[in-house]
Amino acid sequence: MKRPILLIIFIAFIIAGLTIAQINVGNKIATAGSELSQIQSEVDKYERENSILQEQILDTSSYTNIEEKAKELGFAPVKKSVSMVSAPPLAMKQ
Amino acid sequence: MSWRYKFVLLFFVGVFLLIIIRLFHWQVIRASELAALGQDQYGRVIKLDPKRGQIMTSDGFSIAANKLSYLVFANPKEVKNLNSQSELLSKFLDIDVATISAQLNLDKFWVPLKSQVDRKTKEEIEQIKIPGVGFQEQYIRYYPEASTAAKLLGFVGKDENGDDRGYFGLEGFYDRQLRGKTGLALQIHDALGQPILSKMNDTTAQVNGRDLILHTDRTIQYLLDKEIKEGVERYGASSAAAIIMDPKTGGILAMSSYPTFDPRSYRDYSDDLYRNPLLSDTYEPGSTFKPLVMASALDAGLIKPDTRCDICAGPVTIGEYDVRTWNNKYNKDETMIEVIQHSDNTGMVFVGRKLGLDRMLSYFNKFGIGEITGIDLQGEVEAPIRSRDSWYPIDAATATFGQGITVTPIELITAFSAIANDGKRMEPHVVASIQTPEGERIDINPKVLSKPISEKTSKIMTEIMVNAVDKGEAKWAKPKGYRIAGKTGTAQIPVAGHYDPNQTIASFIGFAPAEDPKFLMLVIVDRPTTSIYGAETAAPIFFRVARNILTYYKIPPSE
Repeated sequence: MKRPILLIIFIAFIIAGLTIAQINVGNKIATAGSELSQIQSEVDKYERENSILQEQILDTSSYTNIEEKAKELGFAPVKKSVSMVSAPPLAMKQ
Repeated sequence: MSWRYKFVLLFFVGVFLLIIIRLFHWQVIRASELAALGQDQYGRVIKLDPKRGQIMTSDGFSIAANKLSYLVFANPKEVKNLNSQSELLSKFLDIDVATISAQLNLDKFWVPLKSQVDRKTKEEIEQIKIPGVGFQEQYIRYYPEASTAAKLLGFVGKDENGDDRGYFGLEGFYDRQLRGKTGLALQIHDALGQPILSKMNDTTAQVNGRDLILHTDRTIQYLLDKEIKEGVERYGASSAAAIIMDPKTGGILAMSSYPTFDPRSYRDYSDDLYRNPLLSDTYEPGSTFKPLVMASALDAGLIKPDTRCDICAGPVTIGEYDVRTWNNKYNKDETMIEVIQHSDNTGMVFVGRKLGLDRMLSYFNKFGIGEITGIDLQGEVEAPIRSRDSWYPIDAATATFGQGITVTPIELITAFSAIANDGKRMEPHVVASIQTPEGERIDINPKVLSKPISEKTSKIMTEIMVNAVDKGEAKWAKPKGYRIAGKTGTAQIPVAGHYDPNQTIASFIGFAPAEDPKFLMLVIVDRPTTSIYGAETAAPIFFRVARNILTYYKIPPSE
């Protein structure tokens, strides 16, 4: 008769332990929802900042903007290019 | 069986039937509606919008990107002073007061006021703290270089469901690659509305759009856009357009036309401006067509560069028509080199007679004349050539100098790639590679469409075209020290069954450096008024752009 009682107590402890563990883990997972919201808003924030920075970089480095700025600073387009190529010698050793 | 039993039996059968019908109604007919109601109680379906892929020029610059903007909305229940709030919002959002006031007067909890509002305006509205007004982030298409390459890019509008959709150009052709795939996720929440981590189910995954990396060079595109615009103004033309191609790969380095539109505000422009004339318009190419016919006859071994024309002493009579030269000057016994140099129509009739109609049509076919090129842009049209039976002797004669035959500009430049690329005609392509959101790059390899002429013929034809540039009508505009192969064209425009002598399509096609071509360019000026000739309008534009490209590529003069 002792054996079944011990076995029942042992199983009861295991069930109680597992139940507590499950409640604990379940609770942690459930409360992690707000944490998820925070992480998500952080991700959104960085994505937003990235997007704004990319827009600023594209605006600043666009040729349309560079040309406008160059004009404001008094630069003028080069009309004539000079080729810095040396003339071939009269005689070349093959 | 007594009637009582029958009555009870029928009664129960009837009740069961009613139950079955009711169950069918709930479980089959209204199943999705009830499922949605049930789902609403414990979660909600979130639409996960993918980010549209970017379009990048060969230097990695995003010529079409995504920009953060806002949808301004309001809760009319929270509005305290309708008139003053309507006036304030009207000022910031640039919408009339009556429209705003009507929206704020609705018996709803959420009303949209304006979408695509920029960050600056949003911050200004935030500062004055209007009760009940909120903002929802949204991404809109953004083109940092404004109207640069507008017709190459196309634009993003809305489809019938209100979703983003690309129209025209690359946005239209590659819409499925660029738009990605909308995802749907079921977010289950607790009683306070907080999302539950373990209960997030992706019903369908969201996939961001793929990026396009182009052959198009931003510097060349910018230079070309500027020159084309200035060309229209300088020569009083109704429009102008140009394509620049790498003849070795078929990659489109730049493509421009003017007048154009700004893809950021495409609604402000006429629909006609969306179309890319370089793919969607056909025209008679005039003398720019002559090198193709000459190359065909050279390739067939029917003439040589020094073959003399024995019908070039005066106008050539064909039936009731006289074929004349453009300036009514004739050069007896001129060589084939001189025929191209003088752009002599009678000389081309001589070449056409040597070639014969059947062989000429066969070469047209090899050059892709009458077929679409397969360029990766939306809107390419076919300019079919007439059937063999409907060619009269005068048609065969005029086709040799590019009249009475129509092509699209992209078709002509693709045919010329064979002369500039050792006889190989390349498929024109704007996109060099496609990049997946995971970073995998899928290259699009150059494709040879046909080999209409031999390498030897292409070299001979190149030299004939170099001579035409050095000694022809447009020699004054050529940059010194460079060997450039080219040909002018002045095509009359057919109007109501006859050619209008005062309206022309002036053009120039050529490539440089002639010994190792880095670019092939076609410039078309429609109805110039300062001069009707290609040598005085399209050629100067060509040479100005060519000079800039040669400097940009750091190619020194060779002569």
